[in-house]
Order: sequence, then structure tokens, then C-alpha cells
Amino acid sequence: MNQRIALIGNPNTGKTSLFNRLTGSFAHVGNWAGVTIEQKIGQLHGKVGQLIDLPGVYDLDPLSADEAIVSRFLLHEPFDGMINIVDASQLERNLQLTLQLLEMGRPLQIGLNMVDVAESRGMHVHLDKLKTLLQVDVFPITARTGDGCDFLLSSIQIEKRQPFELNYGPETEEAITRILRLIGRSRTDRWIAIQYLAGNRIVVDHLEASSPEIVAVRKELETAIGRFAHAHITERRRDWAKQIRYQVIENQNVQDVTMTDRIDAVVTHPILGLPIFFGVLYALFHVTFNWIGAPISDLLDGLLSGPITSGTVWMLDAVGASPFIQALLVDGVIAGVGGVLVFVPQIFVLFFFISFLEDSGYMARVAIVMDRFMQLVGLNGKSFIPMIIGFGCNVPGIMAARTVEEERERLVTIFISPFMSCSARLPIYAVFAASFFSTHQALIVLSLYMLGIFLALIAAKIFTKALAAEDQTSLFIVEQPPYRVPQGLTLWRSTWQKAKGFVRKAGTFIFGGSVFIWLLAYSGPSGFDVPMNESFLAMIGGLIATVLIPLGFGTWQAGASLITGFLAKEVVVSTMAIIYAVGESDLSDSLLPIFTPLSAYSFMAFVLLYVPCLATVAVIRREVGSAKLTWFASLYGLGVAYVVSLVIYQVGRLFGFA
Amino acid sequence: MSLLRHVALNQTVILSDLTKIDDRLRRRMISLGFYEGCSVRVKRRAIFSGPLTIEQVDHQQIIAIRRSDAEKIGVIVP
Repeated sequence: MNQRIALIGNPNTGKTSLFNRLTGSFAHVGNWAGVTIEQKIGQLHGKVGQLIDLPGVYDLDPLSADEAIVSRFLLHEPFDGMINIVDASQLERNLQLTLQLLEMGRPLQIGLNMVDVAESRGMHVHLDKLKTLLQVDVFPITARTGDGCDFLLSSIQIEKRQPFELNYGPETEEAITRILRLIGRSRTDRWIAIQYLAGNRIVVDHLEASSPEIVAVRKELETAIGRFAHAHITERRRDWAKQIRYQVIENQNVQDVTMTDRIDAVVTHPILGLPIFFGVLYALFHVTFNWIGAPISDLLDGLLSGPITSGTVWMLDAVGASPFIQALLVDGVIAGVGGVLVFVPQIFVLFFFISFLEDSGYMARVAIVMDRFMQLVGLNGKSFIPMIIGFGCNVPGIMAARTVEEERERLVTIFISPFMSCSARLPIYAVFAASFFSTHQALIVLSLYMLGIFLALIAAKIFTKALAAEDQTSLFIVEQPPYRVPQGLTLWRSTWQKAKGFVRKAGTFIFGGSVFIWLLAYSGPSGFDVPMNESFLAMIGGLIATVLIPLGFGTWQAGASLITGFLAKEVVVSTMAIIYAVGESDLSDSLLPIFTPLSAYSFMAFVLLYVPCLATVAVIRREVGSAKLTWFASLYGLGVAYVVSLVIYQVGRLFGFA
Repeated sequence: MSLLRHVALNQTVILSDLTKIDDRLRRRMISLGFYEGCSVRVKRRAIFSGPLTIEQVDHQQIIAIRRSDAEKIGVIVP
């Protein structure tokens, strides 16, 4: 059996949690509206078919790019059944989507999630009544813990059912019939006519293109009922949902002040909110670097540069490998890949905290705290969520920009995202900060993140000015979900999900890059095993070194590592490790004579800003859909990086820093 | 009729006019349960004229909207 089941529901109701439960996938979950931005397909347990996880929607009428995916899916793609996940604590709102799905007449089951949240708010849900009223199966589940999910899975059915019919009143019903006749559809497609009257953009575009005469039907209806058709339909749906709620929910003792209220009173406090946010960010970096990441990284490095290197050398000697192979493995692969692998612990810790913030519900509050500031540069508070995710990796950050409804704001958010210092840049900071700023590592690294944010905001301001010729509107509305304590398993899964890409990169890109760089460094115009200064790498790096002199790091080594950094930013460290043919801890020592603290900082700033990595360029291309804009988004950073590093280095020298 | 922006904190009022705000904002508010005739209250105001946190009293649904938008939303103070 290979049935396709679509998972549909309001944002942040636990669709992805359920998806992970039912398919054994590790898809990304969070506690903010808009975590899922594209459809994901997973194999259902027991091989009964496929489950398709769709972005959350409140209505089949899409307002943003990720929501349009759902409407297009339902209209154009084949599927055999739907699971509608409903948040029991927000029944009335959720039911308005459920009604639209019921009207479609496709096989449908309801997973009633967050019954526990509803109970804690003193609401008791009468399941049997709900089942009878909706005429479909309703399964109580707790997607986060998995309770009830197996039962839902074993009861998936794709039997045909009659479309649910809600009477919208005589005038509207007549208009529905006329539209169906004009577009040549049968009564089972009644829902399409309703969606048309309700103003669903996708349906409107689809139908009016082929049957323009239906516009007149809508106009006539609006004259007859004396108001907009969509307003009438929405109200009718709401009344229906309200009726259902009154019938199935029994209100018991209602708590007045909830935990969420108490936390919100502090973290969205008018004055304290902002310092708390920056405190949270600082704590995140402090724990990542000083407390957990650095000690484990040192341990790993000791292992790599000690036993593993000497073991490899011993083994290669034993099998009689040629000096070429020895150099390739020890100076190329171990130095290059190892130089990056030692940072895996830091990156895991960073992703863990980002996942924690996402899953707790704090992200939605950050949107409030930051909105005023983001507005100053023409963005909105929601743009800050993709930016924070960009701290982990720019690729999902840029994709998360889809939740920003306004197209102009979405584009600007994408353009400035590469300035968000992703975890791949961490190894570079870690090496330099450890060598030159050993006492203030967290502070130096935080300052680079802040520099990135600051420049991103300035860039946003400029782009907004350039793009917003006539369109100055901005849409800001953010749902504030109740806080919840993130679950261990969920946290681990989303941390692993994000961090494994980094490990995989070490095995592919960085491995390949390391071998290539080592070859360039090992060979030169005069043959193999040349002194490093006469290698091809030195020649290539030397080409741009002259340009870099005013920035304080005009060496061929810096030039060469910057070129290779386009593959993936951590390759900068690999390259340096290969050039200086040392492990990471010794790399610090090798850098000391070449950089000064000032030029090291200037170099770090340059690396932060100069170009997005290859993977980021690819995702920008996909998200902006224009080669010209992609070129621009990828290259303007180079100019910014040059100017910023120049200013840092030259002004720093004026003030007597070395 | 007064405006949502000027309502005192934690005072329950009735939403009465959503016609002057952006069409998409209105739709989104309505789909979140903030329709004309429902009871809402302002829970917090962010600093520097930042967003308002408002609650749909009946649903305990909380959202944040901008103060500039709240200025175009009419309410009835009972």
C-alpha cells in the first residue's frame, strides 16, 4: 500500500512532532508559528504509506509564501487522505480550518492535540460529542510525548466520505451553485466555489483565469447580502465553530495567572526585555565557549594531534607508505579535517541552545522585543527569528525568512542573513580569539556577532530605501504561544539534525578541500614537495595579498585561506592548519608571529563579512529566484568587508593598538 | 468608540472596528480569533512605542501587533 496522507493544521499545533512520531523522522520542531516552511515527506511506520508534513496555516487562503504551499498542495497534488491536527486549547480558531477541510470531502481524521494544555486551563473536551458533530474520527493525542499517536497511525483510513455541508444562507448557496455550473464542476467540488467566494487567492487566480464570468456572480451576491462575500463566509464559519465549542467544551475552574503570564511579565517587560534578551545571548556564548565547548575541544584536539597523528604515522611507516602518501594524510587530511572536527562540541552546544530557545516559545517574544528596532531599519521583529537561526547556519536562516509576509521585508532579510555569524565561522574565531585574546574570548566573539548584526541592520536600512519606492506597508502580527519546557528527546533530535550537517561537511567538502589545498601547497612550478613559499598556493594567495595589506593581513597565507573559505567558512581554518602543517592548538602558536591582535581582529571581521559560503549562495538563489539578485547578495559583502576591516585596522593603529 | 491603542492595561474591551487596518492584518487577526465583537485586553506595551501584547479573553489567545496598527482598531469600552 502506498497511500499519501497530508498533515494539516494551524501553526504551532504540533504537526511536526506528530510527523516525527509517526514516521520516525527527525524533522525540525519549535515553539513558534512558522517552523515548517516547506513540505516534508516521511515514510509511515509499518510502511503503510507516506506522510506529508505541510507548513501550518490558519486558513486555506494564504498570506505568506510558506502558506501558499498548502493551498497549492491541496489543489494540485495527489493525496489519499488528511490528518488534521487540532489544538484543543484553541478549539474555536482551529475548527475554522477543520471546517474547510471537512468541506473538501476527502478522507479526514482529526488528531486532537494539547488536551493536557486545555485541561490545565480548566477546559474539559467531550470527545464523543465532537466526533458526532464533525462526522469524522477524532483521536486524542499528545504529540510531544507520543501518547495516542500509535492508535491514530493504526486507524488511518482512506475511505471516501461525503463533503460536509454548512449552509451559508440562501443567497450564498445560490451563488455557489451558479459558480459550480460556470466552472463546470460537480456538487462534490462545492468547496472550491466556497474558497473562491471566501477570497482564497490561489483559487481566485486559478478560476478567474479560465472563467472570468464568475466575478459577476460574486458581485451580485455582495449586492444582495450587502457586504463582502468573504466577510459573510468567515462569520458563518466562526459562528459554526463557536457553536461546536459551546457544545463540546466544559469550562471548569479557570486559573487567573498562568506560568506563561509570569514569565512574560519579565522577559517582555518594557524596560527589562531588551537587556534580558542580550543577557540570554551572552550567556549562550559564554556557556558555549568558556564553560562547555572549549574544554571538550581541547580534549579532542589533544587526542587528534597526539595519539591519532602519531598512530597514523606509525601505521604508515609500518606498511611502508611513500612520503607523498604520508604527507597527504598527516599534513593534508588530519590537519585539515581535524582542524575543523575539534569544534564539533562547540557547535553542538550552540545548536542545543538555539533549539532550546526555539522550543521554549521565547522566539515569539524576541519578535516583540526587537520589533521597534527592526522597524527603524525597515524590517519587522519577525525578521529577527531568521537572523538568530542564522547564527547556527545561514541556510535554514534564509529559508526561515519565508515566514516574513511582506515580500520586500523577506528579500531584505535574505540579503542581510549572510552577515549573521554562523557556526562555521566559529572555528576561525576560536583559533584567533584563543591566540590573541585569551582572557576575553567570549566577549571578543560576542563583539563579532554584534558587529554582524549591526552591519546587517545598516544594510537593511539601505536596501529598504532602495527597494521601497512605493510600497511602505509592513505586516506585523505574531502569535504568542504558551511557554513549555522543551523535551529532552526533541531537543536532542533537533540539535543533532542541525549539527550533523556540520559533521557531514567535514567528511565531504572539508575533506576534499583539504586534499586539494594540500596538493596546491605541496606542488609548485618546480615540481612536488617544494618549499611552501614556492607552491602554487603561495602564488595564488600572493595575488590578492597585496590588496589585503591595508587591512593588516597582507600575507599569501591569509589570501589563500580566504579564497578557499568560499567552499565553507571552516575551510579557512583547515587551510591555515595545512599551510602551517600543525594541529589546531599549535596553530595558535604559528599565528602569533604573523598576526597582531589588531590584524587578527581585522581578519576575523573580514571572514565574518566577505562572502556567503557555497551552500548559502545556492539557497539564496533558490529563495530569491533571480540570478542577478543572487550575484548581488553574494558579492556586496566583499565591499563591506573590505571597508570595515580597513577602518578597524587603520583606526585601530591611530589609537595605538598593534 | 475609542482606539485599542489608548485602552488601559488589563481592561477588557470589545473589538468593534477592524476596517481601517491593512487587509492582510485584518484577515490574520480574524483567523486568530480577534474578530469584531470579541473581548480583548491589552496585556503589555513594549518600550519606545513597541508592539502591544493583546489577549482574546475568551480563547486565552495572545498575539502581538504594532501600536501604529492598534491606533486604527476601534474598541468599545463597556
